[in-house]
Amino acid sequence: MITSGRITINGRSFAINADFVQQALFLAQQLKSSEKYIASILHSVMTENPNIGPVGCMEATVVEFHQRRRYLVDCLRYIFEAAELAELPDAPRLYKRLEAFARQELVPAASGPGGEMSLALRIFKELENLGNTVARAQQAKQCAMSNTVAPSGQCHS
Amino acid sequence: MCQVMVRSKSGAYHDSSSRPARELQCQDFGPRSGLRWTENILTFPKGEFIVYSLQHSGLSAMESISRLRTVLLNALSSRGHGEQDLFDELMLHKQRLLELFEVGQSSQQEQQELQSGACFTPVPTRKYNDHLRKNHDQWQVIRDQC
Repeated sequence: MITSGRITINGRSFAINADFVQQALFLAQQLKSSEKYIASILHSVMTENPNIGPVGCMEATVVEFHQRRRYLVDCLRYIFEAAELAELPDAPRLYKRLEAFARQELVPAASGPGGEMSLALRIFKELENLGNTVARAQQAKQCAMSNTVAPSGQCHS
Repeated sequence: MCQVMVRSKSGAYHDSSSRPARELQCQDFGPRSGLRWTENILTFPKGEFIVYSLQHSGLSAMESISRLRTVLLNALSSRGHGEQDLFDELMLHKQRLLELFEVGQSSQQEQQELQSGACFTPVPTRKYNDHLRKNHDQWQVIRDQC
């Protein structure tokens, strides 16, 4: 809930300003993501880097947005690779435990924000979306006006 | 949210439940809650105390995901060292792993909520940063009980 210049992220209330709002709105639009989710990343970037300018902040937010996805995918890859090796006769106990974890906790369909869905289906959906994502990135690259100024002059310090 | 439990070196717990933090972590919060106890040793006039503070891991999501990745890599490369830590982390992050690419949709309601809040201008200076860090710790040590 956001009222009177404050935003609530993960149960805590923070003061925000007009620049913050404009940056969060712009990034949410570009990254096709929830405004609140982007606001939480932007806030964390600003807190960690109090002395960087608005463009730097936005770039760091985009980097962190993608890095979170990358790290989560890395984790899943390590877990499933270990689960695959657990079938070998002399597999370490850790691999077997990871296989059990994957089978019991990750493979069954679970309810999430988009309804009940299995992890496999979620990954396939994302693969389907990749075509659009690549096309958008290509278009943004071709239409880029400047590397140094935030679009529409929204982000003056 | 501010929960603190203080334990003296002799092992006495100074909170209403008199239970150790690890038990509380298991019994009071599900792993999906993102809540966890952290342990710190602080020095007070009456001696050293172990202070358990409750933190919400969701706030520093990046650090938390990065930590899971590191613990996972370490456990795999050392063939099982730190195994219990790894499974604690995995249970804590299970929901995040399952949701994976789900970051919510851009919505008009959230845009309006953000915009309606745009009337205050704190610049995130170093002082503001320090202030936030201090608040993040969420320690409220009950000195009388120490």
